[in-house]
Amino acid sequence: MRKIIIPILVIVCFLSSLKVSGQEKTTNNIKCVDRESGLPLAEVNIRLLTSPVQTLVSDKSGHFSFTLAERTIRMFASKVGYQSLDTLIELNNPVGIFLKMSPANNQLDEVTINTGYQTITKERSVGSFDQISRAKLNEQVGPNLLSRIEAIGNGVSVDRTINSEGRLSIRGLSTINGPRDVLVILDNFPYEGNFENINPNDVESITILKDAAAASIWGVRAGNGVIVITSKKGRLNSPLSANLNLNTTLTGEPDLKMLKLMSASDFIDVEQRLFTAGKYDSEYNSSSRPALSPVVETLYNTALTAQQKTALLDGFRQQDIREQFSKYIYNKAIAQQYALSLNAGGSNYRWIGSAGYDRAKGNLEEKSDRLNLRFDLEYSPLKNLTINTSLGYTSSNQKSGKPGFFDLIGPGGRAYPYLQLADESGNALPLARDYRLSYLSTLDKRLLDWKYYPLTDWGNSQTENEAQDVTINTGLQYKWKGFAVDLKGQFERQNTSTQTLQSLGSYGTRNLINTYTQITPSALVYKVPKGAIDDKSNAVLSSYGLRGQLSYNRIFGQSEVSFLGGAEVREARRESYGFRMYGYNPETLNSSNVDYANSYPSLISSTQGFIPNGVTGSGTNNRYVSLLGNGNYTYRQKYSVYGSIRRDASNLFGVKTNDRWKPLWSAGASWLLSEEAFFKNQDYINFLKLRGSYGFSGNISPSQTAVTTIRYSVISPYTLSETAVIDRYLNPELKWETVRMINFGLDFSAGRQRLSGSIELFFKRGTDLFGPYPVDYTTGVGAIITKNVASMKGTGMDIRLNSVNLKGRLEWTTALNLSTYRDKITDYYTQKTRGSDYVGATPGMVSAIVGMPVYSIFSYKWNGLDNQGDPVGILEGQPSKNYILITGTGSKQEDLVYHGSAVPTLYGNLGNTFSYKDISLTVQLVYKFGYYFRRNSINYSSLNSGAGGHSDYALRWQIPGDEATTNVPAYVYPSVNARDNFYLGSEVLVSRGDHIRLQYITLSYPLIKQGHSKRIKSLEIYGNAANLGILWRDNKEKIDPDYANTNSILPSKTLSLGGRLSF
Amino acid sequence: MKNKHQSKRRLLLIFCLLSALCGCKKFLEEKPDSKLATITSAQDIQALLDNYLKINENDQSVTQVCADDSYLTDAVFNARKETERNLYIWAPSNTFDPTFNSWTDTYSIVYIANLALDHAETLKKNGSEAASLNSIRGEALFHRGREFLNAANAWALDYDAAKASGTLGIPTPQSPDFNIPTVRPNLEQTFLRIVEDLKSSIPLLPAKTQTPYKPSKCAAYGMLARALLYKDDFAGALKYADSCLQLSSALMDYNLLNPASDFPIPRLNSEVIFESKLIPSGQILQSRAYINPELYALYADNDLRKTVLYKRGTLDWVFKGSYDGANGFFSGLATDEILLIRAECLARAGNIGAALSDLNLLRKSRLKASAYTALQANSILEALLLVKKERRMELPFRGLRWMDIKRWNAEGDGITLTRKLNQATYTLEPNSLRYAIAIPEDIIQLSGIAQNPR
Repeated sequence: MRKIIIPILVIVCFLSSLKVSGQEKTTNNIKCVDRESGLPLAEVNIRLLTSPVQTLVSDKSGHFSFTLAERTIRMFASKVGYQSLDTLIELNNPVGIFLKMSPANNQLDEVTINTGYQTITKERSVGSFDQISRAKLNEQVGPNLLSRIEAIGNGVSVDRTINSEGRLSIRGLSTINGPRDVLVILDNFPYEGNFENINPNDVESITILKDAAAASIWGVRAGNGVIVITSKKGRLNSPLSANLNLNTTLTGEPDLKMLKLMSASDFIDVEQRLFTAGKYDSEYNSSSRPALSPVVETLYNTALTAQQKTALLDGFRQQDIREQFSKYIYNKAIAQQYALSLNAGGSNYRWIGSAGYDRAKGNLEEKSDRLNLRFDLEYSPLKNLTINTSLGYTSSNQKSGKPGFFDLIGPGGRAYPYLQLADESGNALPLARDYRLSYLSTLDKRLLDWKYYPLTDWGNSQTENEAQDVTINTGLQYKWKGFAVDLKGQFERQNTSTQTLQSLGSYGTRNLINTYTQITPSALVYKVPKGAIDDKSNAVLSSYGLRGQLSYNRIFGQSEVSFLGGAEVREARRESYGFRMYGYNPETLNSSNVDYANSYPSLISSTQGFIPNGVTGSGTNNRYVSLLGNGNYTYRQKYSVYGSIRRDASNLFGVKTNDRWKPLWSAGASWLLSEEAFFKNQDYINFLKLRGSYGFSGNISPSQTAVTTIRYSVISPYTLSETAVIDRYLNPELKWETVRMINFGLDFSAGRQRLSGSIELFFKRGTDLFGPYPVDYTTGVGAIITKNVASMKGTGMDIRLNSVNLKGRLEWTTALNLSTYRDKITDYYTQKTRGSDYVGATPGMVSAIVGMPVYSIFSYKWNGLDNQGDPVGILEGQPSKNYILITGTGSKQEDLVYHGSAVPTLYGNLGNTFSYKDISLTVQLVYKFGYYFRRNSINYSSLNSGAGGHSDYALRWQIPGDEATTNVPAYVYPSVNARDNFYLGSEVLVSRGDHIRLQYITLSYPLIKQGHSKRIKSLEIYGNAANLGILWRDNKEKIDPDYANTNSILPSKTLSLGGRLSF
Repeated sequence: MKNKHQSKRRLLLIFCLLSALCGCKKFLEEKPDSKLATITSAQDIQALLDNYLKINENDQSVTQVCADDSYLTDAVFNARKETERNLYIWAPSNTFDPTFNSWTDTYSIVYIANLALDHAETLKKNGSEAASLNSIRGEALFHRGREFLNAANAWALDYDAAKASGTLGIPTPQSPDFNIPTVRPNLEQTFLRIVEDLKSSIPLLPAKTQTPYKPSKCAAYGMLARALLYKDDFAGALKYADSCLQLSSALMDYNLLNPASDFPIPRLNSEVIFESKLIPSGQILQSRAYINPELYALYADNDLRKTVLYKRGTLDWVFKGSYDGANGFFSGLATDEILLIRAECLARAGNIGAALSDLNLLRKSRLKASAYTALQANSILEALLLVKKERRMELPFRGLRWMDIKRWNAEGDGITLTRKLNQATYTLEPNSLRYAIAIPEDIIQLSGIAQNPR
């Protein structure tokens, strides 16, 4: 009450002192209520747009009052969780005026932003934030939260070429060699656990912090951007309500035909040629009897006639390993998700409890399930004191399944393309893995079967993983006279235990037992016990974070100031250990003793070896101490300035480097144009804000130390003491990376929220970036050392547009996220010496050329094939076949072809939602433009060494004249590595990566709408189809640029069906 | 009243913050990874030197590939990659892959030795345990000298005292600071360093160690003898060979070995003084390399080495007599080599009787007991011929043949190497410049040192 009375008194006094003209002033009482439930709303911020502006806050019963002469007044009301109201109120009702506020609608922007340290309103924010609402997140289905961001976030892209697992990056990469992970914050603290443990159904919103003003409050780990995940909380003054979400997802089998595999017949032709040339002779004669393919074994088999050999080979030519995998290994995958949440709230408390259960069986019969339990309570025992507690428990299990397509190991390291997993009767067939099958059949019959049967082996060798995670969040907030003291703590403990049990039937066990068996005429002596092998390991993560925050808010006159200062301490400790038991009996849990101390001869090769003891152990402990502060000053609700500062210290080695950190700071300003007088008179633009920020964030790499560090390794069986290897070399000048970001943004909303969005322009500058620096390796530190070698500059634009195109019976809204990004190296303190330094065969090579994008694609100039099928390049302006020089010192940057950036320069996503009557359909596209990628092709050196071929082999040059129609060089043996490197690095294998992908389609239909039933609040059914493939691509080879890596299989289409019930 | 409360609260807050900061320093001293350590104690340095996989099993094998102990068939040759094929035919350039090659392997051991010496120095200054530091310094000096000798064997020419100051040597870095530019001293300076390192290690090492993986005084004497032999310092080599044999002189009797077994000679046997192995390059493996018929023809029928060291492969004889007891190639020190060094030096000094008595001592354990007859010689030349022949027969596949060819050609032996492949013949004439193998091209680029002249 006091809060309102004083300003009112001041105003009344002021007004009376001015001797306002004789209009009579009346006191008006207004009650704020929730439009849906009718319950009163406390703590609504009211701004009366009188002159000067009055600010009020509604009390616990939702009332506020003011005295005014005018009869109509423009009023702006806002409250966390509700849509802001901007209305003109007629103050003519003496009974009472109700201000009805609607809960924040999902289609429009949320009013507030959670940075992890504080919640700020959109009006006052100065930094660059992208808010993803719950509704948008829920358009996708699945247990994994972060993978949903790719399709809907602004300024984010997932790169799979530089890192095939897919790495999320925000606004491009700011680092070259440093860590590239985005910092993920869950409920105000950095999340150290497994991302798969977060239940998407518990998430209220996700905020992406993109510029320095937003992210630098997080300090040295925020250089790559920050993602803040906020969990759902209960609602005050609301009766018990429940939400249930159930769904099932079906995933198709992977399409193996897309893999560019060499045909079985072509592969066999090559094997025959190599056999005739005698390539396999040394392997056949080797005392270690390495594995050979069935074709090679057939060719060596002197017991067969030439005709019999041809017949066998022809039989092999008919086989296709992909068909075998489709028939015997891959299946459709199915997953189920169940989620229930209950929440309620009174006037001074609110709570939410949720339970989620996810269960899945994958394409390879692998099983997983996860249980999430969560309870969050916020309670205000006193008016100014709020206590918050949240408990979370996750339990998950995984069980391994069948081997995937790239998991099989065969002769030369790969399974040959004519592999058969089973014969016509379905009996498992062997795959030669470590030893030649024909040799194994000559061994003592008393030994265990030494063959590997991929079809059935997986059932005998299973890995199970169990994890439990307990997270406790507590907080206390005490407000007093503008000050607020916030104490927060988070404790997490995650326990993971893994067991791999290889029974006596598994190949791994039989192989190890046989290897150390000693044969005597009377008996076999087993050095490895005849029984199962059990590997167990356990890892514990325990972390805690404590934060103390003091904030101060004060409004005086036209100005509003707020300050925040805090200190934080964090520790994340991981410990793990593992051991192995031989002769393990899973029923009785007994195991046998093994001699680890002495070496024994391997049965086949006679090399001495030690029986592996499977013992592992490690421990890490990362500790951080931080001091942070920020301040905001707003004048007349229109002009804001902001500053933040943070200093971190950690326990990593390199004390000298720690001391050299400058504090990371940022500053920003914003101008709410739509509050200006010249904007008030028009109705079209509702909201317009201009903002700018400047600041620094850092990138800290725990692995870059300034002193020489060694890593303890195995115990030497000869000296019986610990051995160590060098981990990092002394590098006293090493400094941490710094990223400077300048950001300009314009947020707008026009046409009564029919068009809203933001346009941002940012300039990034990274200095002291880590990079590989080639060193004369005579110094013994290796050929590459990490130094601060580079600076880079990047600029880009992020555009976000939400438009309501059609309203009425047919509604159509569009959400567009578009980002451009261009960067270039400004300094690189090392010289490139060889052509192959620019043209990387492996993706993700840094161009390291001043003026060029950080990740560029360069190629060797191509001059076609000559009349012998050899590729021809250019050396010193002339056609040349001197591949060694072309890929080596003979090529300078000017001699190479520059294509463009290896990462998209224009990217984003586009979502269109159509609603007709009640059915709603969303189509989400993800697009990437303006970049190139290098295709894979045949590598004859790899093919000849048994590491596998590529389907381009079928397109190769074969007879003179073919050079007019093909670019694939002729087959050669003996292999010429430089010739292969030249072809694989030439310009003919580079394509544009531009493509548009149909990410998902979601359809939803409310069976029971809000307000239509007393018992049930709403019932909605929905369906989602995802990974629907590429709609358009620029490369004519029909390659999916995100999965161009030879070892990646395209994700298969998924279909989900589910229902949401709230009551 | 309110002000007093306010300022009291403020003071409390500041106090809390300050006390938190003071506890900070200790909090931040915890090790981030329990397996990581900075080098702060002698134990840390010892752990680096005890890493046998790096220190003892990484000797360069390029000299073995180039030597005439073995040959490859066309088919096997064609299956090797380009740089390996070039090395095998003594090509003047492009004989190494960039970045990961024998130069890297050799000099990374030198780095660990330098790091150990550097830290031992620091620890000594801090008043640390002198006794344990001594053996560390001894081990480091031994390994460094040994690896410099291996490098000189591969990338430098024969040592001729008259020309050594004008011949290119190999880099001999003595500090772990990678900012110091690499230089190539001349061969004379190189060998001064090698001999200095090995000599300095002698007083610091124990006479014998619990395992031949760790260097001992005996090993240092032996290695010094080998180095001085390369240098043609026969008097010095004799002295040290003698000192070595006084500490360890056991010889295995080959009569007691089983020639039918896959690998008749056990590893870490009584003759082994110091254990080290060559990198098992594909071109010398038992499955690929056949024995040079000239070598095989040297053995008399009653010579047990014929059946203990060799067995019949598919097309020709292959080697199975490594002191590693299996497929690896022993390159360390054993009494047979030291005995032969002593014999050679004695012969060159004119002491024919003593030289022959050493040879016969060796032969007693290498020939069938029933068929043993003592050798005779009437001149230094005759004696030397016998020593050279015995050395050839006793020490194949140990990385020593290259060095022997170099120094014997320098005194006019005229050993010419030829290899016939794919209808072409490749020849390495005596005293050719290509006896100093080409240094990896990227090293020349990165460091600016001179390439071996061709």
